[in-house]
Amino acid sequence: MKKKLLTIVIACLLAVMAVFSACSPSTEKPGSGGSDDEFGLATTIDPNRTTLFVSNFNGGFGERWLKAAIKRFEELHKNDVYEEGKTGVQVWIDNSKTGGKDTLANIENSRDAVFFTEYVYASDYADSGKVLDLSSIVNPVLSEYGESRSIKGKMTKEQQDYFIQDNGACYVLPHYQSFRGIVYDVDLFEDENYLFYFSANANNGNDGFVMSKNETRSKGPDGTGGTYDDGLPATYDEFFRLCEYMLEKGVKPVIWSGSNQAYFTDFLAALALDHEGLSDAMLNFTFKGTAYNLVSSVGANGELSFMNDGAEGSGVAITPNNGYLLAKQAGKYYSLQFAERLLKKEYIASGSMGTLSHTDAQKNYINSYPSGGEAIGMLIEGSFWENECSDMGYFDAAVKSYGQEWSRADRRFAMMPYPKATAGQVGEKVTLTDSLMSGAFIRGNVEGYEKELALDFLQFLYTDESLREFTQYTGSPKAMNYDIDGVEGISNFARSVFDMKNRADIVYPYSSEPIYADQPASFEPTSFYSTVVNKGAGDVPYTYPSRAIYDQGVTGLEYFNGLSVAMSKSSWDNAYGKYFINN
Amino acid sequence: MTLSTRVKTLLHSKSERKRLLFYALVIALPLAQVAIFYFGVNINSILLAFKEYEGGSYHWVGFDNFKRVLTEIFTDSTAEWRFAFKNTFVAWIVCTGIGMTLALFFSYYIFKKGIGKNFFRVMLFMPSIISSIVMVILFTYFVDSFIPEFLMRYFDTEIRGLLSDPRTTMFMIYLYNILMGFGTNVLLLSSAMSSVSDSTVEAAQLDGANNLRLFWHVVLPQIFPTFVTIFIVSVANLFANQLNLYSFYGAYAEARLGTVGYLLYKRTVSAANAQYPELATIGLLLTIVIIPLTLGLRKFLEKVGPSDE
Amino acid sequence: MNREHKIKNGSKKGFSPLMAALFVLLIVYALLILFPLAWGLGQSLMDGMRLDSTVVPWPSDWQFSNYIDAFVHFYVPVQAEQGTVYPTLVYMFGYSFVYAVGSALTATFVQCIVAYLTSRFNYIVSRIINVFVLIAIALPIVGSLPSEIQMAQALGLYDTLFGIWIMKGHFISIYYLVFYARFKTFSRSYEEAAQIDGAGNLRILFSIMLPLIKNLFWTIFLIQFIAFWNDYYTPLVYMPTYPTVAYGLWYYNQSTENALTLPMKVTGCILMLLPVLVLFAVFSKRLMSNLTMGGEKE
Repeated sequence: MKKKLLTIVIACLLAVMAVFSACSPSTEKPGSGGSDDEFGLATTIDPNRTTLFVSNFNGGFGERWLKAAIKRFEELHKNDVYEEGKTGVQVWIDNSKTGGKDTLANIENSRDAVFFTEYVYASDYADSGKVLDLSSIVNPVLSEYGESRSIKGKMTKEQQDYFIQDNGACYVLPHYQSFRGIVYDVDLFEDENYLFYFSANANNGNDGFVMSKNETRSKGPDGTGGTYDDGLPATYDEFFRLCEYMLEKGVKPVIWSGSNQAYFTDFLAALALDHEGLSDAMLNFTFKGTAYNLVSSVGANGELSFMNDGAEGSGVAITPNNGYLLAKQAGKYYSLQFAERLLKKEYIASGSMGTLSHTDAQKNYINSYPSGGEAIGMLIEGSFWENECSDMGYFDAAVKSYGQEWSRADRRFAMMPYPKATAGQVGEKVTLTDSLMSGAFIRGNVEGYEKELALDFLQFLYTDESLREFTQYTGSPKAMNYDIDGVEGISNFARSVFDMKNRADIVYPYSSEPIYADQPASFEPTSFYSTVVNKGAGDVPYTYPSRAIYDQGVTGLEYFNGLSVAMSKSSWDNAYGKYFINN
Repeated sequence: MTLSTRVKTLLHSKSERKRLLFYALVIALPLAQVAIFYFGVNINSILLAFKEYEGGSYHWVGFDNFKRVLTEIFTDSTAEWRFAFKNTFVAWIVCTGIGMTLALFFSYYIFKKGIGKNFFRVMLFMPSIISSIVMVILFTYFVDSFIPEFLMRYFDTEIRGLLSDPRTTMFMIYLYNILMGFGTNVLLLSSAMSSVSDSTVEAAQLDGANNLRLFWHVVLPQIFPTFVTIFIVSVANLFANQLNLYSFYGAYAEARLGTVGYLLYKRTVSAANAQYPELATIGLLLTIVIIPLTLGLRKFLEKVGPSDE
Repeated sequence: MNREHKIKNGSKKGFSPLMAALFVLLIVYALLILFPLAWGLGQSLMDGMRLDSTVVPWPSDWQFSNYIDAFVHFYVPVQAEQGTVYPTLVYMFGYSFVYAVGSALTATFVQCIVAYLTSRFNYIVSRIINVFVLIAIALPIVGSLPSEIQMAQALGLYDTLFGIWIMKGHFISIYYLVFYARFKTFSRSYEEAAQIDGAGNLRILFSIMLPLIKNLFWTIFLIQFIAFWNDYYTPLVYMPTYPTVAYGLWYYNQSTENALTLPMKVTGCILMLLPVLVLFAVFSKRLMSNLTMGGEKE
């Protein structure tokens, strides 16, 4: 062997290794300019204070909310002694991009005590024995913060069922909340040249659209005049009339991320579950209850007949034994009809069925109106989009190009309440679906002062003040019941989401039933749309309605019928037979 | 020679004892490494195929998982497995068939010092240098964004992205995999060809052999063991091949595009504890199929392949 | 001489149809590789915040600030004893070099030695190992990550530079099979002659067998070096305080913390590519030229 070459290689290797082992990277964040921190937090670890290390999934929600809370927490405890010889506390953020089971795999060796991350299947965490029981902070009323509720009291019944074990233990707390929906540009909609609102007078000579800002608008999806959704499309039919009207006015109706069709599919699932309502929607995760909207047949004119247990309107009892029937939920049918109507080339902006990334879709959307070119009316996204877009610097870039009035603070976006599939449903409560499995938890092997501090900090983050501050900084709600009255600095969009959340029933797509808890990924809302369609060339599987309908010419009805082929009784029995209830 | 005779020879002959000692000492460390980091770590994962997750721990259930998995694969109500197996075999034929054939001939071109050989040698090596993250990003944006935008802007011609357009999606994925598959194969084949002696080549050319005959009768027989190795490994990896779909789409590739390797990998990434036994079972079943196929094919090729004599 | 030259290089009269066809195919192949790379290089010089796309990255629009920004903003926060540290590109290159070279050297050496033993020593263990490797390559293992980490920690190998070399130094690899096949082609006469001259087993290995295989050794070392250079997952899981360039690019891709536009993303790609291209340019002649020299002495 060429000894010289081998010698050179080994020598280089050892030299580089020695250099990089001896030199340590800087503790100062590159580009941070020294000790500047927006919230005045220390940029190095203070040996005179007790340090609590916290891991934060630094995605669309960022870390500013956490820093703001840390500032208040450190101030609150500046004179407290957790650790002998040290006064005060310092909370140190370790940002991370690992979630779910990757975090759990190595948690015992982490220096972080408190974790905030996504794709947390609470049952896995509970079973792992690696996370701390939080019941000591979840159950007591937060009276030391002047509140009259406990953390448990701020959770919905569905959340309590899922996160709190039968023995009262709680290992994971719900973290932030995100909904998929239709974002619309309020400024564009109210522009005198457009006025994309329905009139209360359907025969006003302008095809039912308002002709002036002062004209009385239609009641909207909630069926009540004088509310936040006046003038917005109440039904699918109105929504598509709006799309046509937009085209006439030279506005492209919709844009979404083409590179990830799961976004659009998630939206369809949310639409489907909105149609079903909370209790029928939850059947998809609990497999326990009665389903009232199972389609037995679709007539020639699209009229639906429904299954029942004997008497009309009696519904069908759902158990793990017959969960496959949920493929026939009418909400899924209607959402696919919506998709079929929407997926026309003229309605959707370029790249929505291509490789447009979600951030590029956001960028194109916010810039379409000020650019003077073809504006885009609506964006299908998650409720964290505005924060993410801001973090990418796109609002700042828009200000640079078009002026200060196009800043995030000056623009008004809002979440459009879902239109209803049929006129008969107008007035029904909105049902939103939480689309991220985010959770907060504490490492199981914390002890002594670290344990006490971790619990105190986590509890602090669930006080009303911290919950409101979270929304202020992220524009998104925490997955808890609270209000944002009197909180300043919240964008129009964030407020619209919060208002909608408070008016809505929320579907948390998880349950403690073993059939769900053992394989949560199999029952994610996106999985509703696994189908098989045979258009004469054999069975073809599809996962994304958008691709099947737009690319392959599959109709909404064909796609819907295929759902029960993919989730047939025999395949259901084979996959989930061990969860069956024996009568 | 019987086993006992062999052992006696081994123990009584001094040189054989020395040879055995040398062998044992040198192979001990690598075997220890595998014992710890393969068997020690993975035996539990293999045994998972015979277990079920319930109440926070795994329990022995014998062959129940096998029954369930085989039923799922053979009834295949989602048509996913059908497409996965079909895509796996088609991809193997297209990518390995075309890719390996071209790799052989490209290696021969370099061996024969064709025009621009140095440049092409570098180009053929590029796929091995470039990280898959890098190449997928560049390739995806190039074919799906740049080409349609370029044609629209400068030729007023509208086309869909070549990856997004269902008519060209599979073609682009196969093309990508063929392009990226050259690096290692060309290197190994070139290395093998460099061992072909000049005198043999000269003799063949003196006898009037043209390039094709030279390749077929002289070069190929001598590099056949290397070729068989590469070929056999591609068969062994048949069900592990994801066709780079995870790099392109993450877990979000359309069901009709998936291969067996992709389907398994996608399920593994999103699996909860209760799903590991089923995935371990699928892995074992696929291995039971592929191992005899691989070993049998290797024996067959070694038997019928050209001899360098 | 002229006659030998002609024989070696093919007749100058009438370029062989086979070679002509291969030339055309190679040109097509080269263009398919070069165009996306060239586009990527151009994109990396564009302003990512620009709202109007120029589609083609014309030189008039070029700016080099992306590369400067990358050195500032391209960092990975890691936990260390002294707190969170922020290794920048320079550190990531260093860690990548140590990880890739060390792991490639260890892996290639182990594969070569084991292949030598199993191909030249006809014991039953050799045959078992040979079959085992094929099975192990084909057998997909699921759910082993937690136990792998635990094992590494128990042995003190977790999150150490040398520890990862040991973990990568196994012979369950296609390259073991390649070495095996090559060793099998060598005549026994080499060893017999050496034994007659009084050489021991160790001497035969290092003075005769390894020199015969040196071309292949360096070829495989190079392939594995590049694979390790481009591997982001292993450093992410097993060496979290030593982020490599590949891990950095993966982190860069995932994180919105660094405000990543397409040009910046592509800049990260180009930066990751450059060192390998430079290394290849520096060592290619020595390495590649070995591929065309005769391997086995007559």
